Amino acid sequence: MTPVETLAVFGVLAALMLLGLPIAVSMALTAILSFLALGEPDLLSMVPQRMYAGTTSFPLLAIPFFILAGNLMNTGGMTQRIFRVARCLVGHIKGGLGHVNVVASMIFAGMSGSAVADAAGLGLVEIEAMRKAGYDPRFSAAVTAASSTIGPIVPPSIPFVIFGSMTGTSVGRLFLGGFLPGLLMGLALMITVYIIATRRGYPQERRVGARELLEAILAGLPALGAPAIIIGGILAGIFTPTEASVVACLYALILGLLLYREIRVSDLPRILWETLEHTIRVMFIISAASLFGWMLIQQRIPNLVVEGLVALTDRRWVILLIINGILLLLGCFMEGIAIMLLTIPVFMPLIARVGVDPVHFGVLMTLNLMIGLLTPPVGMALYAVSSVSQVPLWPLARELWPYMVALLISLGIVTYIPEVVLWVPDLLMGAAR
Amino acid sequence: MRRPAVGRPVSADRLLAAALRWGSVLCLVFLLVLLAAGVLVRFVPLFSLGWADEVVELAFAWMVFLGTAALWREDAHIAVTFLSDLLSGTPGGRLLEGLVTLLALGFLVTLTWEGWLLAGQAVGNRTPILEWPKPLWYVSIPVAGIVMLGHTLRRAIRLIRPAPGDRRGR
Repeated sequence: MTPVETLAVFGVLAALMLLGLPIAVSMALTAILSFLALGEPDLLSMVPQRMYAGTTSFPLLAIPFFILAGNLMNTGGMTQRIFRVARCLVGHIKGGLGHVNVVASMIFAGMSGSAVADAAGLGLVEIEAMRKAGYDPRFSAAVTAASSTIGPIVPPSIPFVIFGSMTGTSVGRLFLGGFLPGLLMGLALMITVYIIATRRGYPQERRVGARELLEAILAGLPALGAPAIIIGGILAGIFTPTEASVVACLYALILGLLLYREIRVSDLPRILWETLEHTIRVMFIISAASLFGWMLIQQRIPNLVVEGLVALTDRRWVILLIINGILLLLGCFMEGIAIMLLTIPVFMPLIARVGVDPVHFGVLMTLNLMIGLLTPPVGMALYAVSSVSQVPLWPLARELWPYMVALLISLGIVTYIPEVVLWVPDLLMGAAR
Repeated sequence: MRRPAVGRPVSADRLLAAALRWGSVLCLVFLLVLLAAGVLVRFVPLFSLGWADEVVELAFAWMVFLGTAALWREDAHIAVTFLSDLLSGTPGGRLLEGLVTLLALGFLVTLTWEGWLLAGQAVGNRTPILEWPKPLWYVSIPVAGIVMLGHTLRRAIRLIRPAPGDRRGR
């Protein structure tokens, strides 16, 4: 394919998406039109083949179950208990419930792999508590939206499962690689909350005594045990990430139904269908992206892009800067998983060429896409929090900018200090060679 | 789950919607049970689940494609709606909807037909352990395709000849 034809492919894709066709259909139709335009109608047989193969790989089964686990935890009373633990731990710092919001998201992230589950589920608890305590609704909404992006960075993580499945990278290593970046993001957001709280004179809560803290931890212990079971089980080789997602569901189900008794059997059809709605939206895009990616590779488009970029520069730091820029820009206009699936076939050969570790790149890419969840006009976490908090989209986006700066600084650190990502997986699983 | 209101006639369309949703949900529950059993028998080898991989793929495929058709009927797949929101209610918006419907039809015809051929090619093949016919797996694609085609064709017809009460032809 010539460079002009390559540009035409991406132009057609952008035009179809802009017309309002579902993103998955836009991708599949671009591939179909490319086959026809290149005079290769025989390749149309690849449409169902690739779409089928793209959706039925075993690791992808973790997606519905991690979403289901998040939904069960939200309905089953685990989120309230996590919030109480976080409140006892950090509520006394200047900015009070702002910090609680961030820490609760970090704990919740250890059980759920979805930012939107955090924003819409735990977010509801957080925003309600902050409203009762008299916080500015825009501040509450902004902290909730920003902290929800930690969800898919701290393991488990749905984007890591998809990245691992699409690229053959170890999902276990990706999960471990997200630990320190997740902590870094949390720390950066807490510093931002502290600065804003100091400037605006926000309150802090009273420091709780050891007895109250212990009570909160004991009450939340079953909920806090979930991350240990999920990650511990994967690390100990007891189960695969996909099986871990199933175990997380069963654990949340047992807690919600039997221990906390906040899930009724009659709630289950609704919870299951909500899980499927999220899952299927992602899976339809994955299936179409599998076809689109196959077409790109078959036409050697990634090679063309790699050669073009490397001809401009072969410096790793510049290439990473360009990739970050492209991902952040796309994040303003597209849904994160779609961006991941669209760009993986192009970026993976590029990062291999300049010697970036795929685990480092997977975490880096996901972090970019999480920032994209906060940027209008298309930002899923932004919409979810706006809907939960009743704060209109644009005022919320304006309130978010200090947190965006904090997340961008975190991104810079993760981009240029690979050890932040690789240290934990190398330590626990040995260096990958 | 949406259920038909009491006293309202249950149309074939509503039955189809319920079948798609429940079919997809049952596949999810089945997968949950099967995978949980897989973890369990690793520690308590009560029975063999060697056949499970074949059924997992079957349930996964049907869950995804039935669910895709269910969400298609509800226009619930992720799309960039900036332009359609901008032109909503104008003649340009109607034209845009017509174009989008036409393009979607092109995709669906290809998917359904090629999916049907794929299932046909698998006739005679059986799975190694259960010896179930392989087309059972692939036929999920044309089945979902036909449902989506039917819905999209109905929308196309309504665009050309709006039904009474269809203000904007949807």
